[in-house]
Amino acid sequence: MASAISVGLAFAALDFLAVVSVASYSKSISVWIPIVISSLLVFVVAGLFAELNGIYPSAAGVRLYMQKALGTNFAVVVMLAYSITIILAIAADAFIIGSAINFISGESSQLTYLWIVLLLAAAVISNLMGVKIAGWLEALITLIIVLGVGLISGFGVSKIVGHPNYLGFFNQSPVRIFQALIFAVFLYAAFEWVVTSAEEANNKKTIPRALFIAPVILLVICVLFGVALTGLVKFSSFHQSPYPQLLLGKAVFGRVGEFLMLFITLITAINTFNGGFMVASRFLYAAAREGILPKAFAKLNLKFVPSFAVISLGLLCMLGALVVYLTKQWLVLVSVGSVLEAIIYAIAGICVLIFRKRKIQQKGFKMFFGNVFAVLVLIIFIPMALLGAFSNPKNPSQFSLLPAAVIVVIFFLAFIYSKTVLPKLVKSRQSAAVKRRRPTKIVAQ
Amino acid sequence: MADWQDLEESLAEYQKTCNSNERLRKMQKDWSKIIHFKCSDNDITFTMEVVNGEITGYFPGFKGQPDIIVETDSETFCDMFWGDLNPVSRYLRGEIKVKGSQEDIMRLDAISAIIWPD
Repeated sequence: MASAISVGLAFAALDFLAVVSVASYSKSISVWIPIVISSLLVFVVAGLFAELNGIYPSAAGVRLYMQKALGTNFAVVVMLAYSITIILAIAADAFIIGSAINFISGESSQLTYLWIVLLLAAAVISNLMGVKIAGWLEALITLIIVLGVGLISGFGVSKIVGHPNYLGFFNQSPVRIFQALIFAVFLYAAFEWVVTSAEEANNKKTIPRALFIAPVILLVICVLFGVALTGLVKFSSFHQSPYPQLLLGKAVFGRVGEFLMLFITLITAINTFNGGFMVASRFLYAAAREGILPKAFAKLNLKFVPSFAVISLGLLCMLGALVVYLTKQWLVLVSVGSVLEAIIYAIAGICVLIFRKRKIQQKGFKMFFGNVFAVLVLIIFIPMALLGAFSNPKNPSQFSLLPAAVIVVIFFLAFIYSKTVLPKLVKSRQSAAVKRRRPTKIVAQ
Repeated sequence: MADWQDLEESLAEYQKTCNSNERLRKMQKDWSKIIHFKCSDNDITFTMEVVNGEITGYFPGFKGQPDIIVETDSETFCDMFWGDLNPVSRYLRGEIKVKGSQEDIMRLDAISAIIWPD
């Protein structure tokens, strides 16, 4: 179940576009190579997260690790930035799904945003009503997605004719190879969120196991999808499309394949909107309870749903989706997501090094050669983040300032918030402190 | 370090406050759980029973199959049950450990948020 949660969190509609970015940098059909190489890097990261989970098994996850290792202010800024990126990712997903529905229905493209608003409104309303997807249903949905994409792509691979160059990836400059890896890392983004289920796991091995199994599953379906897409659909067609998966479906099984892929795209929305909204709204609730966000975000309705947080998320996602719809820059969000994930993985490496130096008692999984791998992660992911911030996700022959600009704005907003609004909230909480209710114990002399 | 008498006093107050809060009772009417508490600084353990949102009892020691397990030091438990601390900060710092479903953990915290709003 934990593995299914991890895969479900990581595999969203946006991943189909991430494969397009990887294909842009990998000379098409050799797209499988950066996906495989990045999975090896992600395995190392999985080991680091498994060790961190063993030290601090908590729903607070990455936030707690950063807080303990690097201090509260740093943790707050990074998590706020991460939250903004999650909102953008949900917005981008809503855009992709809305576009896919619009494409199939054959309506005017101007109605795409209407579909997006309807999808997000449905997600907000179902969250507010306390509609929860049971764990087994979430696992079933993930299984359908994995099998559906895997089988359709597998059939697609079997239809590839000729002798395409499956190893063309290595005939490129080292910089371009590295850039392809950056986008490939995004395919596994958010798999580490499963650590937030630590308190639900009855067995200490459950979370570490999920952290290692999920990348394998993601690797297989992404490789199959990438090879089938690049082998059967013209680069010029899928490169400009916000729904490349529909093009593959059509190439494999005609109109039926298109509808099958649309169905799969729609059900990824269940995991994204259910899981994403729930995780994000709980984060906002916890942050408000802690005094990091205004109290309004901690307001609960009769269904124990942080209503203000959910509605705010919905509105922000609609705004984000509108920006994507108007600018058509959906792939920039893949760049932004890739860079932020690289930063989070580098921070995980730093946390492991710090905790090992402090000799924090380790009760669970301990990675062998943990110090070496943690340093390796820093050496790889920090340059990866820097290069990714200036890479054009569509055109490998150009650099772009746009991803860097978006990331700088996100971190700047988080930083300004931590320096201006947060101190006021802390001060207000301190001045509102009530008289102690617990009676003072008088100890007889 | 608090003893069982201190804890019992704080639990009695907590039970009274929770059970008399109409809004909380209404929200929790579908929630029945057995919660185990463990003090990390002494050997004291205790159990709380919640039936349809009402705290029906608390007993020393572990009784029944728990839905939620909470562990922290005895002073923190006392302060928590008296409403003198916000458990979220301690929980996010790892000072209060909770084992249970995410929904139950949230409900447990929400009780404090509703009966002692900031």
